[in-house]
Amino acid sequence: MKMNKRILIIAPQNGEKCFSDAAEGGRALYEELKGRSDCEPFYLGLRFGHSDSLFRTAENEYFWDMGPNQPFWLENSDTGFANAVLEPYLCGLKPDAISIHFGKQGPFNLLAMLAAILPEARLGASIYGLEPLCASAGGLVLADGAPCSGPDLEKCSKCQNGLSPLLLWQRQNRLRRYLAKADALITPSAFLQDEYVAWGLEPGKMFLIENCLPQLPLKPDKPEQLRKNPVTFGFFGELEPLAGLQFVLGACALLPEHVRPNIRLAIFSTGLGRQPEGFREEMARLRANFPISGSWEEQGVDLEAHIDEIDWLLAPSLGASPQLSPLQKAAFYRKPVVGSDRGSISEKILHGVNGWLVPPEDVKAWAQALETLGGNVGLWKNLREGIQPPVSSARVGAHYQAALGLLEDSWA
Amino acid sequence: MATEQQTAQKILREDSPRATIDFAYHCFVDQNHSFLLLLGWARLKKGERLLLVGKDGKPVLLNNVYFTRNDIRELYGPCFNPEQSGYGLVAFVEAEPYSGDFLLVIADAPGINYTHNFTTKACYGVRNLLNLLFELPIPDYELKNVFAMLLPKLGLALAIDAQATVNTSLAVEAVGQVSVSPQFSLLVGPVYEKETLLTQLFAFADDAELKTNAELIYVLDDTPEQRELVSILRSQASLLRVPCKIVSLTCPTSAAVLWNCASLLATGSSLVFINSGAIPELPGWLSILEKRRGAVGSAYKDIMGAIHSGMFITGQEALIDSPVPGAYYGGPVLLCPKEVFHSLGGFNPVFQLPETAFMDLYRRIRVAKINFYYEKQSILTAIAEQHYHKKTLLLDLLFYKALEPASEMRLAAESVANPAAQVGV
Repeated sequence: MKMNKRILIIAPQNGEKCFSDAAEGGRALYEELKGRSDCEPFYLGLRFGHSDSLFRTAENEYFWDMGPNQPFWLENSDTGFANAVLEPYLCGLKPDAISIHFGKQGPFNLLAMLAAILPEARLGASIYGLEPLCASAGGLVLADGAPCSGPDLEKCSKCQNGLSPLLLWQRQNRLRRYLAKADALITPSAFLQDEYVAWGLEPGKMFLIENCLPQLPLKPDKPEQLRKNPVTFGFFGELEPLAGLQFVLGACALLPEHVRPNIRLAIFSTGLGRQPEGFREEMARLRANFPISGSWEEQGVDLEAHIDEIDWLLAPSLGASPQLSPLQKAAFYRKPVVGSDRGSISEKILHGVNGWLVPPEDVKAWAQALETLGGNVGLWKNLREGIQPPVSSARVGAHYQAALGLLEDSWA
Repeated sequence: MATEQQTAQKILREDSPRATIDFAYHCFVDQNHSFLLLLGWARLKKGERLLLVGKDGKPVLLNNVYFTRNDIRELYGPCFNPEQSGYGLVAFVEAEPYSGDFLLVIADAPGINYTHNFTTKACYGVRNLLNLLFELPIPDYELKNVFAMLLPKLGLALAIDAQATVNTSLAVEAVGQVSVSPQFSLLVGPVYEKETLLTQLFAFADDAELKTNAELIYVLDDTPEQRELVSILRSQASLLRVPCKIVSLTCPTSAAVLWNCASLLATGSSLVFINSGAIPELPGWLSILEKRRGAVGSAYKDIMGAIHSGMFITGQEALIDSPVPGAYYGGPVLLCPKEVFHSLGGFNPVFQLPETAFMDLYRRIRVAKINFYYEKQSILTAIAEQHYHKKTLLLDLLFYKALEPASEMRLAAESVANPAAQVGV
């Protein structure tokens, strides 16, 4: 009897309802593979809490609270528990392949653990950001918002408030070693690939595969829905300095009086309370300059629930590798994106074809863009026509199977 | 002539100080070895002696490690005036009962006495004690120079004595299946810092040669971090399938002693001493080192990628004035055939740091006319250990200087000027 290949998918649990390409992508991949007859998927959700526990949540699904991560090292030091519990679990499961989806916190040392415990299994590491090569949350951005030219120990040390280059070197050395353990390194953008290859990862292991998109509720397509007055630009995501929303808000204050009534901002955000006090104050000051709807400090961000309320998706990220699932979802609902002309966004959005690109740290450029796009129904319709539907989860699933050597013809 | 006790009692009764002692420092009692150190400088005339007098008025016999008039003359050079200058005194006493308050007095000179009160202070370990000496306020520049010249002698005497009295035992545990008859024994130490330990261990985990042809021995002395480090090492090595032996010593000691202990447990024919701050980067690095017959040091990179020669990178000036934390004076790795290592008596136990222990062994290998080679290819990256105290390095270098003839220092300086000359001896 032919045995199906076993694939274990490991992904962070999306505890807070906010975008996490890793959490959503990993889960969606599992759901997709579950429906297939040619492989047997298993799911291990990760959380970085305090309970040190591994428990079953559903058939073929486990949950591991692996203890707090070390944010600088992007590692988890819960090795005692891993020795005692993870190893028996994995050895019992004996997966043919493991697909690990790394969120902002890693933990990347999981790759070394898995390679040691299951040397025969093919390891696929899905990386959604640049956190391993940039200790500033993977932003690759300088203090003034300008793009960074890439990792350099001395420059990174200054950027990290004088953190020892020795520690930065060790961090880099370890993370490179972990990632080298993977048989397949999967990124959702060519920009990420290029950065990692320049950083020293093996080009031959790189696979470009779109994020697996979770099942989204279908909504009727109504092209005439563009509100002529006002036009709504919507932001969904975590309110952090790297999100770049401060430049959009600054731009709103520059809009001419006759333009202001034509534009509305809807912000559905979370996480502001976790940010430094100076940033919170700046956002409060900017917010007072322009009427804003939405839920400024919600505990979660639900794009699907509010997608009908916007005409344009704002993606003003300063960071070079923001979460891409909002862009995919916007494409699913055919909302054009006005986003930052930087990193992964500038790769996914073609200026004047399916969206609009703006230098993210340029307030005047944002003001110009808002004014241009605010009342231009024709442009909105044209861009909307240029939007391609996101790659189906079935196709993404097949790509993953191929990258992990799970298809019959690729297994050899 | 009055007995010493009578003299002391007489001095104690008098209250008119006519001291000519420039300074007198201090008294320490090591918690482990129970000794007393008295370090001073007195302008004594012929026939005068310094006495240490306890509270009961009884003088204490000093088993002095002190310097003769000739030493002083040599150090002071033309400035030396035998009538006015005095003896330096450095006293080191094995003295369990000596604790509490003391007086330092000059005896056998009618009408002259000095009473210097001091209380013994507990001090942990000879090294810490010597480090403290660097902080003593020395009265004048000339004296400071003299003191600096004398210190290596004192330090060596102290360190040798302390090492002789070290009573340590060791515990060995094996993680995983260590190679039974390996070619290489990798002896890693000293280990003080968790992140460096992990970075190195992850590098070892990637080294196929290490798993098939080598045994890995970690050796940790008794430090506040020892327990945590052993625990981390045990669990990470187990998880990453890096077989190793973990040797835990029951007392704090020098890198040289650590490695000497570990070498007794090694079963490989080639001993590879590796600093815990050295991260192997080149695949097959063990074979690269081993291809030559004899002892081998190697070039290495720093974290910025600059390549450094593996030894003798400093001249005499740098020895005293500019020991930079992170600068390696002896390279981070040394391969030595086991029989050669043991025939030389191992590392000199007085050297606290790996680099200086290496330097000293290099010197003795050279003197013994054993082949020594430098591998020019950089095989690893050296990470500066954060815990290295500048004063510890300075002390080691002073010891080295005390042991090393001047010609060796010149050779060292030449090797810096001409790196090509470093290939083969």
